[in-house]
Amino acid sequence: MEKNIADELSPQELVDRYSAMIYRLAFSRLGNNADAEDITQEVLLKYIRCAKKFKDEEHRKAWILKVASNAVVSLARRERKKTKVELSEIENVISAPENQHKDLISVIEQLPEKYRLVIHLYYYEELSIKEIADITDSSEGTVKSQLSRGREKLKNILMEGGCL
Amino acid sequence: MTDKSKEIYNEMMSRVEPEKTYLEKLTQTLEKEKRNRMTVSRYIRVAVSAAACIAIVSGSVVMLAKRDKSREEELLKLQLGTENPSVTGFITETEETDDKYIGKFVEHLCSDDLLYIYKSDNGIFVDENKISDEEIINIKKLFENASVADDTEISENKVYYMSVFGNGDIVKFNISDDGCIEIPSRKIFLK
Repeated sequence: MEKNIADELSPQELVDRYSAMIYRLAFSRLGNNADAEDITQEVLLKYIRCAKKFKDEEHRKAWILKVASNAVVSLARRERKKTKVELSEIENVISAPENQHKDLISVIEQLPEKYRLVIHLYYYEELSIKEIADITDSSEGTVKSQLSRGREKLKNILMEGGCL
Repeated sequence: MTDKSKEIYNEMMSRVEPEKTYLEKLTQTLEKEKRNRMTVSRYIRVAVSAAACIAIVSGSVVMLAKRDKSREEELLKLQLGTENPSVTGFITETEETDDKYIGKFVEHLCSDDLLYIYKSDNGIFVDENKISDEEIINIKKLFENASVADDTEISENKVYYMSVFGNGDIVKFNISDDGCIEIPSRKIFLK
């Protein structure tokens, strides 16, 4: 029987444990703080509203990543419909925290959108291909292929940027 | 083999963190949401409890109604016959003279305890054959104006009646076309 561990975490614990994870995932795909903040709040509110039962910590983390991933993709789709403004074009007006991550933003911007999430989940969250496939609702073959191309692309970007 | 790209990516990404002020606001928002959820859950629990109580009470009422209904149905299935009189209650138990019995019966007919009087041409009573209040008044008058006679039976042209009382009494009687009354269970004849 699944144990309901949703109530075991207080809002403070939720924030301490998951906010950075969600925030980074959103940032890796969207490349800006405001959207990352929105996604983080949206996901954690959903967590509280759902009061879902989780088998264990891994199950909970996978659920949060999946919800975050869906929210990010959904926001990206909505944003795409709006007038597209290149990140480099607004460099001068971006806020201080984003300015700190200029290198990263530059990398994210150069990396095709379809590779961003898988790269982040594979590199930073250190998830397996199967786990990434579950989270992104893709086949393992698709994830493998995206990962292979994405890693190659990232390597080139870093080399061109003088990081490698 | 070390993945240099991974190291660099992770190093850049580890520097990305939500601001402290944002996290404080987020915590407050989540706390507020949790409180709201708890309040809503509490309301839902109260509503569910109330609904359960209503359901129990309604269930009891329905059961009572069903019990009454089944009792009525049982009564309706009763067939008239002097050999097997279906009369219950204090009236049958009363060891009184016929006059006193009729007096009590009429009194009973005039009380609020009278539920229904059924009418039938063949002695089988069905729910649709409840008589009107007006007819009940006429029957009461007929009883009040009649007196016990010695005749043991009335003519064949008669209408069968069954009176049902709230205390469980059932008294069947027949009224002939010439206005004579018979209470078969007591072998009482009135004209």
